[in-house]
Amino acid sequence: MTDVPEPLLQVDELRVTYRSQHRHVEAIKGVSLRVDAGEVLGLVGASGSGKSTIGNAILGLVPVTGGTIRFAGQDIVEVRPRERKVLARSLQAIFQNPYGSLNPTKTIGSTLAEPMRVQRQFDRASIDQRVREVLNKVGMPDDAAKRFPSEFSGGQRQRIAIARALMLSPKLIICDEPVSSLDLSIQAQVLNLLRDLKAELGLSMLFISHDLAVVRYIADSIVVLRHGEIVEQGLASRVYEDPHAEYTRTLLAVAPQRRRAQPG
Amino acid sequence: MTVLIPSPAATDADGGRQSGAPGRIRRLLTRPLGAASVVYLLLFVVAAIAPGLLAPGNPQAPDFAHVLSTPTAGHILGTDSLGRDIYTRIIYGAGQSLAGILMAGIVAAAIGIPCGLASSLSRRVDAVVSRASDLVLSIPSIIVLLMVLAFSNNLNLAMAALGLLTAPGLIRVTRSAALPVVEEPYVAAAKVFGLGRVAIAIRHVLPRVIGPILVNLSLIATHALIIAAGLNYLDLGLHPPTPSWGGLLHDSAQVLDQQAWTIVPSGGVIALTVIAIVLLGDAVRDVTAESWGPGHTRAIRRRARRMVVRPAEPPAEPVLDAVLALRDLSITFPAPDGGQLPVVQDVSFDIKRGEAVGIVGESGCGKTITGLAVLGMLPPGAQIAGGSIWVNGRDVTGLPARERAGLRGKTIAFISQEPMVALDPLFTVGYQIAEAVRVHTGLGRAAAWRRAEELLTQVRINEPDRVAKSYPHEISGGMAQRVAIAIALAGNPEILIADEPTTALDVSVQGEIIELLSSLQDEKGLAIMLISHDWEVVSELCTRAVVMYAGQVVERARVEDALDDPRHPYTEGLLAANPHLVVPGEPLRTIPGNVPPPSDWPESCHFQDRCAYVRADCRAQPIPMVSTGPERSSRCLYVELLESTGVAS
Repeated sequence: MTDVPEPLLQVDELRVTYRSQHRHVEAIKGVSLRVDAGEVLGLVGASGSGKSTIGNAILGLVPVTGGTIRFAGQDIVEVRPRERKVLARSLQAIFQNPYGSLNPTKTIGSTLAEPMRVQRQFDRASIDQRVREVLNKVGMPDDAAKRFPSEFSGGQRQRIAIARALMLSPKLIICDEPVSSLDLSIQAQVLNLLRDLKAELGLSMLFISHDLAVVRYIADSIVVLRHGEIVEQGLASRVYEDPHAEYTRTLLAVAPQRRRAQPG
Repeated sequence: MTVLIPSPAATDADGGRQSGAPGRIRRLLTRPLGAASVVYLLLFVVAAIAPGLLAPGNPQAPDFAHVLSTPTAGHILGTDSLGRDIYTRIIYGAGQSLAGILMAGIVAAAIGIPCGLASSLSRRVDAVVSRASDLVLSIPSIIVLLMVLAFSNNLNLAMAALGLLTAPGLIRVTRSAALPVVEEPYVAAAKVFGLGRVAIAIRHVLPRVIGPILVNLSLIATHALIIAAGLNYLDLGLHPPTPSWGGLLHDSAQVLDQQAWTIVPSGGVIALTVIAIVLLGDAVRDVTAESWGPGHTRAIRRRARRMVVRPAEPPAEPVLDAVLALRDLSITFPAPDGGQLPVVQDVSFDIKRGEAVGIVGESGCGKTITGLAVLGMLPPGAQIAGGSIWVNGRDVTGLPARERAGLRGKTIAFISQEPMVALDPLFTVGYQIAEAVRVHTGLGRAAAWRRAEELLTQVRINEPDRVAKSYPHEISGGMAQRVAIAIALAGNPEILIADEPTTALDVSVQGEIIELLSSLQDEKGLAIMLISHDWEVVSELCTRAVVMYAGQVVERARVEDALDDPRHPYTEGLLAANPHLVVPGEPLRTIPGNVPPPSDWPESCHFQDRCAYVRADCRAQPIPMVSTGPERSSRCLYVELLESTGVAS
């Protein structure tokens, strides 16, 4: 047909409705977006905009009411638990809360090994070697594998959560507010790490955040979400310099100002 | 100038700890009560399996010469009405008691744990399981037990029925402990990489909830023991002449008027066993949690011993116009070895009326603990090891707890990072504010409610009457923080401690909250101690900044001076390492490494391992605060170096 490459992730007219006993809440009202190979798409919105719901729908953590989600050409809306295991090799996730993202009762080594163990095709030696590799990749010492999450700070735990997502060398990582609960100085460390990994491994990411500055640093293009609908999308530089939607302008206006005079 | 690259955390290499089953058993045995109950229960099990090992005699052998005797050399626990040795009969009765306990415990665990875990993971299963549990709970258990015994006279069968009847309790305990765990992101991560539900339940949920399950199982076991004895006592499920503990109790009750002693050993063994099982359940739970909980590494023990808290010098009188003044405040936490670990060292600063001062630093630097010390709400075990806290010119450091509590709310108020946590979901917002008003002012209900609406207006909430009638779940995070501020204002405080008040909020709401705090500061002359890691928030609200690193104040300065010309490498690093200062296409500047834990703090410069300017003498001795200009000081030996290079450019 054409020589436009197929996108890695293609979401079309996605709808998610949460049902409680008495009412239905339409969290996502027909959202379409795509992530190409090697691209980082920033998904921005205030809390309640539905940005995390989109991530969870792609990961199969919330039921989809309508629309399609295609990953590497395959429809993944109706993926059965067994096929999810195969999908896990190319689709991974990092979540917000660094204190809840690791099982406190398992050593770091055991937590990191799990994605490979689930696949049931790697021997112990190759798993151990991979654990050391990813730990080094995220800037953690080898001996971290023997220790428990309680011995690490929030920033270190988030590095470990990133390491776990890297274990199977995925193509796409859904990053759901990966830095928002960290100190700013630690956010900078983790963001640099994610950007280095993107450059080094050619990773694609769907980067979900309420903080435009953070998204601007890492994203190639941006989707702005409000009340479950897209209000603006485009290249990151364009959205920042020339926001078309009124809502984007409001978001940009309230973003922390650079109060400090630019150092000379 | 300096491009800082994240480096692996410089942490000690020997922080290993005992994990796995052998370590757990060893830790269990180091607890006196745990060890005692293990020894007792081991003897119980031996008696049950091989009673001959512990009691050489025959439990049926009568000694007609000594009927109903008190303890003698030949019969250490005396004899019963047929002259049979009570000690021997107790040992031979252990088998039946253990069988009963195991029967009830295994049946309850086999039903309760899987059903509880399954209902926490699946709503559909939950619907079925909770109906079934309700049904079982509505059956009167004593009638079932009597019926089983009436038809079979088999005590083990009755105990199995008891296990079934107590399973719903275990299901509920398991389910309610597991529900918060299945919401955790690591469970979502496990789903993402394709781990099945059963594996998630076993690997990721069960280890987290095993504590309450063990305690509940130990209660079920003791319940089974007592019920079995009770049934035996009522002459049910007995197979004479085989001894059983309940049977012994039955026999002693028959002869109570002739010989009161016999009831002591037969009742005592049941009581002792119950106590041992409960203690073991508790000890096992504690030990299980310890194997992955924080602390207890060898490194911490070793260092803690080495660190000595310096005696505080006599505190200087604070300046007169300060509402709040800290002088050389030092706080320690208990170390695992019983020593004290300093977490805040020699912190001094003043806040004047109507002034906002920012306490800036990363997590783990002692900012929040300093705030809690000012409130007089240090966590258990933590103590003020030196220095003083002055409120309105009065030293409040040594005040009794009651007087200290009187200051809270009325003079010093507090808002936290998580406003929702501060609100009780069961009561309306207005009721909670009115409660605070009544506690502090003694107003009547109607007047307090009016005052609550006034306070809501003061925190810039439109339609205060409508919001006052809302429940916490009906309002947004930003609104909840406004309500928390209204509650803080209820007692007309002079000092507000705001601990990261905007961190959990959306960027768009953060500015509004800061604006609100700023206007309250102007209108009411409120002094604000703002604890934050975010220079933007600090610069919008505060005139002066106190930068803390690893328990110490490292720089004190006016905010604009600190921003334009930081005089400590840590201040400089914090200012630069901010994603909001991003220049597209360039890596973000960072401070390499992490804040070290208190056990790793050196006597010399605390920042040395992360500092780009570090020299040999930084590692040699404690660094004093030195004045670096009007109204500012810094804890750095090489302030000039920073001055000459200026902010990294």
